[in-house]
Amino acid sequence: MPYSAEISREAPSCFVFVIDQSGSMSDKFVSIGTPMSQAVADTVNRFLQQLVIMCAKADGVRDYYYISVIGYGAGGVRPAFTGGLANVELAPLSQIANNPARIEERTKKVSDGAGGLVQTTIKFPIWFDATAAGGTPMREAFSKANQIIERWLTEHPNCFPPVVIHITDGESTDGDPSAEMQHLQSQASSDGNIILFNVHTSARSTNPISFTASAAQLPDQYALMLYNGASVLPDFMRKTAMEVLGYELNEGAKAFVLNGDIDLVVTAIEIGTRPKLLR
Amino acid sequence: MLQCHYWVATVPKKGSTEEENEDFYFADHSAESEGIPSVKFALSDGATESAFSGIWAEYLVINFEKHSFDKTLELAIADWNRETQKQELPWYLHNKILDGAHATFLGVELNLVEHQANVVAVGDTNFFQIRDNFLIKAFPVDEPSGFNNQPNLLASVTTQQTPLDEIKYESKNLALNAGDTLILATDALAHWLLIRCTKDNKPWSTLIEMTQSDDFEQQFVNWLMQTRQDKAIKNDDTTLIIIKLTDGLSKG
Repeated sequence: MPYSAEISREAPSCFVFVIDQSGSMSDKFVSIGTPMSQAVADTVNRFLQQLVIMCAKADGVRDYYYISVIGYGAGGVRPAFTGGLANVELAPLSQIANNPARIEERTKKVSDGAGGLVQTTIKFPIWFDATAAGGTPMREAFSKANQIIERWLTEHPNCFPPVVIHITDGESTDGDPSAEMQHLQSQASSDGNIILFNVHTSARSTNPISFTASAAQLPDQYALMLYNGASVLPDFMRKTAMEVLGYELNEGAKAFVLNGDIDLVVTAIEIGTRPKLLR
Repeated sequence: MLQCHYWVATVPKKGSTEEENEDFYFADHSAESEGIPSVKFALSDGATESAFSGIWAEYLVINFEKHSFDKTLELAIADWNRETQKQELPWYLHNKILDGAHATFLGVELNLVEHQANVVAVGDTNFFQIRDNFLIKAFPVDEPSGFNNQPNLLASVTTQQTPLDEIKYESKNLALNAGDTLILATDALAHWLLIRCTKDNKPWSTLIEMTQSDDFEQQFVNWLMQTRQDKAIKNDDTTLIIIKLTDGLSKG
């Protein structure tokens, strides 16, 4: 049965983020007044934090996952970590845990157990800063993702299949990435195909479409290209989606969002990365 | 009055070291002495998802030796807080311990004079009572579907605790007979037992037979490795305590 491999230190899995850092990502989400690049960076930093915390034990962080964050924009296609992980393409989770670029302190209100709230300080590490400049070399970015995944699968042929999450607001400026997306989708471990999320976001978030099983409502060829490039959500992810969204997705639902606001980006990441069978 | 004999084995999940085994148990050292009026056993399974859950499980079973369940919980929380606050923690542990550690707990007190047992159990670490080769009690989980990835757990931070008054976690005054066998098992093994019970296989026989061996622990390890390899049991930290009750010699 596909997608049943245990994720362990001996058999880790991996998450790859491919993030559009082109100039248009500096537009602000109308709903929250924050630049899309900043909201996406916050979201990815928060995801990394939560994953590290989840895999942390008293003696350190267990390498159940390896992580890659690839950015594409003015500087071409390159690893997007900053600080101690600058230029690192793929890092085990423990290395990520121990090398944030900086750690900010934030206050958080938590329950005091007696119906009230108390303020507590939490540490908020940052690995990845917002960047928004230049064009949108999406084809090259997917070529890089293919290289990373090919190498990973050669070294981990039986792993729980990697998940690739692509977040963008614009159209490719270096040619059609469809072939690279199709190739990426077709890569597989013995436990199943990798899962590619195409998450399109927009400042106004008008007419959002998410996790649809049909291309009928898509407005244009560009949307169709992202839809076709996205994987069909495996059953276990549709179950996760049910928990996250509270409603059932049709069989054939795609790992695809069009015109999403930041909440839909977060939802897609949650559906794509909720862990399974950690050992 | 009854006398008890017991056997224990604990094995980490495949891929983990002995030190990473987060199952902890307590077995009364004097349990096998003649004329002991009551004995205690405890077993706790620290949750993989939380940090410092091994020491949480350990403090729970240690405190149960001398205290009631309520007092055990109170003392273990204090011990856990002291332990986790004595050192400067990296950012991820600083954040993670705000949610506390979690563990199952099974505590068994046998009154050998009155032939009775009190069992307290939170989560899916399970108690089984076998009499005349029949399973007469499985607690708190009594069917295979009761094992899922979200068992009730004891939390080291009170704000994270599932309200205990919403679950049935005590079974009091269970009658004990000479000849009864009690089995305490963490979830993987308890699940294995209950699945096979539904097929009328009397699966406990396999485990009880191992007590005939001079090296019970090794027998259990060998069996567990093979059963894991056959994918018939979940790869998880696994602990087994078998307690046999016999007629004790009456003291003059």
